[in-house]
Amino acid sequence: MQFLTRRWALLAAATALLAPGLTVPVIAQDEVSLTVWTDTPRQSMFEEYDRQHDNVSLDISVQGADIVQKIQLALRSGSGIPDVIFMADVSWGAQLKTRRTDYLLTLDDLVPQEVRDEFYPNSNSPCLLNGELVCLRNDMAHFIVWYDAPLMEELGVEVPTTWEEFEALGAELAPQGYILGSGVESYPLVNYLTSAGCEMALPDPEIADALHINLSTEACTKPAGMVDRMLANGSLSRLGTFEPDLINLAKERRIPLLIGPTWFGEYVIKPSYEVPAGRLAAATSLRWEDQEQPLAWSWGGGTYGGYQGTAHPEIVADILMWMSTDVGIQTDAITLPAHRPSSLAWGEKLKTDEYYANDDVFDIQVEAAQYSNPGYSSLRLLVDQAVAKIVGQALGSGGTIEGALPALEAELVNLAQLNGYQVISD
Amino acid sequence: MTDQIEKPSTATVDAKRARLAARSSRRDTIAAYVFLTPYLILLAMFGIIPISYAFGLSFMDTITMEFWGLANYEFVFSDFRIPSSISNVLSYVGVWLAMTLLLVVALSLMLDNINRRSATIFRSIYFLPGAVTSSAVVVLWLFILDPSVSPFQPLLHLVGWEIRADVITGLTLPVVFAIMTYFSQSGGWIVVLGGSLSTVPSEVIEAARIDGANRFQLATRIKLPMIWRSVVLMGILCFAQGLQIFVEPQLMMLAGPQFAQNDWSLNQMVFQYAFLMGDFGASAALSVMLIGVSISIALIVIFATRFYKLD
Repeated sequence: MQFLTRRWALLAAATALLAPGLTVPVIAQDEVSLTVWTDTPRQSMFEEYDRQHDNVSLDISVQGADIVQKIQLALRSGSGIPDVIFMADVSWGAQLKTRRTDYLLTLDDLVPQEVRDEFYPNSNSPCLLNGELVCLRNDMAHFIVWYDAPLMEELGVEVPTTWEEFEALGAELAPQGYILGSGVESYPLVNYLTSAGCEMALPDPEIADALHINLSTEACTKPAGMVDRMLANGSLSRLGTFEPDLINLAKERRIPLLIGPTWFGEYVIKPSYEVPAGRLAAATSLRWEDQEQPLAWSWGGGTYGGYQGTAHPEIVADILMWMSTDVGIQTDAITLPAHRPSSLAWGEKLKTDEYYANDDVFDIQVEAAQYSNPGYSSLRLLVDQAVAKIVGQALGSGGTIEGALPALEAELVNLAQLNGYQVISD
Repeated sequence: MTDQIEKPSTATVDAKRARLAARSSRRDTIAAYVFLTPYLILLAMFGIIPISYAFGLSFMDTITMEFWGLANYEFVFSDFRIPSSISNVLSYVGVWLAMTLLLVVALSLMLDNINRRSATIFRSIYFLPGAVTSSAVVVLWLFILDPSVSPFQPLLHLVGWEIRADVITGLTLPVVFAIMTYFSQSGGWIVVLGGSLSTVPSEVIEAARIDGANRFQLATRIKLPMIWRSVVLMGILCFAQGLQIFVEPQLMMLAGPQFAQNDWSLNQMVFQYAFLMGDFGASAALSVMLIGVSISIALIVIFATRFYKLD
């Protein structure tokens, strides 16, 4: 036994003697190697960065929707942590910047103000955590109005500009068998509910980690009542946006108009709803009659973030900026860039796209960008899932959304407190 | 040298025999351990070590690695979602266990009554869904429960269910999940119970038959009491497995975000703590409590029924 320990001690000593020899630096290389985790659509953009920058070599791997989980494990094990990530969901930012999950790099000193000013207003609000910039937004995803222009004409109806007109349009068309989209899909539902300024977990601009939650105001009950009435008369469907029955209705031209995010035209209405070319048009986001301007929620819009422990924060910041603001690369991006100059170049092709009935689809998306709700932010709790859970239970048991608002408020308050937020409910 | 050719005394023969017997029994023991080793290694690697690690972790702050006492447990108990998760899981386990115990036992006893070849064919058919991974089973069921694409559309329409949301609220989630797990798990248990039914001695069956027992009496009075250990084992394992329900509610969001159930079951909460909040301590605390419940119930059942006592 003693002999054994002595042998181990000798071995350890030998290793210690050899160790300095092992750490002799290999011939200094100019090339910086960084790890990138991305989704499939952004992969070629990262590859392009790699091609254009000789001093940087990117090790790019495509990841699924479990990036947060994988980073939790990587942080725990202390190895395999990526330097740059693309976050397909805005809530990932907040989940990756906590005491327990201290992943994201603060970009306050790394991204110049003039670069930040080139983004659409509020587009980077999901990247601001307590005033600290932790990521850069890739694309916009605010809700606008999508409609089938020839069908609307055929039906002899006008495109609404207010929610009151929207409800009236639904009531007029529902008896003829037409619907205005889904009334239960979480994100559109959150868009309806927040359209009048309802405080459904909105961060306080001054106080750190404080959320405004108050669902008893008219700003909440008014839109909730509208959705309830529209579900009752059938003008909003009880089916989700992607359920086969709703897709069939869309294919049968039973959806003359719906409220959808900016990417809906290209990625849902064209491929899934199979609306033929020359029919689809867009209009700006709706407002309430007593509102001066619309307030639009968003559905998606990814962000780029870096690792606070990276060996090369400047290069990481450069990659984040290049990915989100390089006009050349963003021109060919698949969704409306959040970076204004890039989006203008990107929008040129939309203007000549034969698919759309009008050539103003891009201009409308840009106009509506200013109505993007500043409360669309990155939170550690998932508001859309809380809405899905509570509204689902209420509608399932024959209740209404308006009737479920107190339960939803309780759920959000509980979730906020559990996740370490201070709740402001006045 | 001369000793060897002498006729050995009876005492030395006995000693030799005893030595041989001891040697062979020692050899048996060694062989048993050799066969057990791979299992023990795997059990240690994927069972005992992770559980001990989680047990330790549950008393720590996992960032500073300080001892936190019961802070993680307090956090879990103060989470407002835990009571509803417990009631969700218990109602699911109740439905699923009842379905499994009644239907699997009934099907196994009925299969034991038909001829061997058809029984084998049926058992294989029942076993087939079990060969599909549970995530695939969930997706399959999400289609079956959608009246617009379901092969059982007329049946669902008959009850007045027009859309998937109707079916899910109509059946309630515990029943939906119980159906999903029942169809993926029951086949395996039908095979196991079939195996234990085949150990029932044919002379006992013969004797009962001569005494005038009909098929029903044969099944309930003779066969069932003789395979009750397998039934209890099935109950324990299904209960422990049922407490861990995760895949079924987690994948509900595949039916659409409005169906998402991210905090429905206790294991989903374990997942949320670790991977959404990065709180591995709270996650470990809840896991430890879950395994504690499973082990205690198994021990109670085993000792109350004197499970390992030989007849």
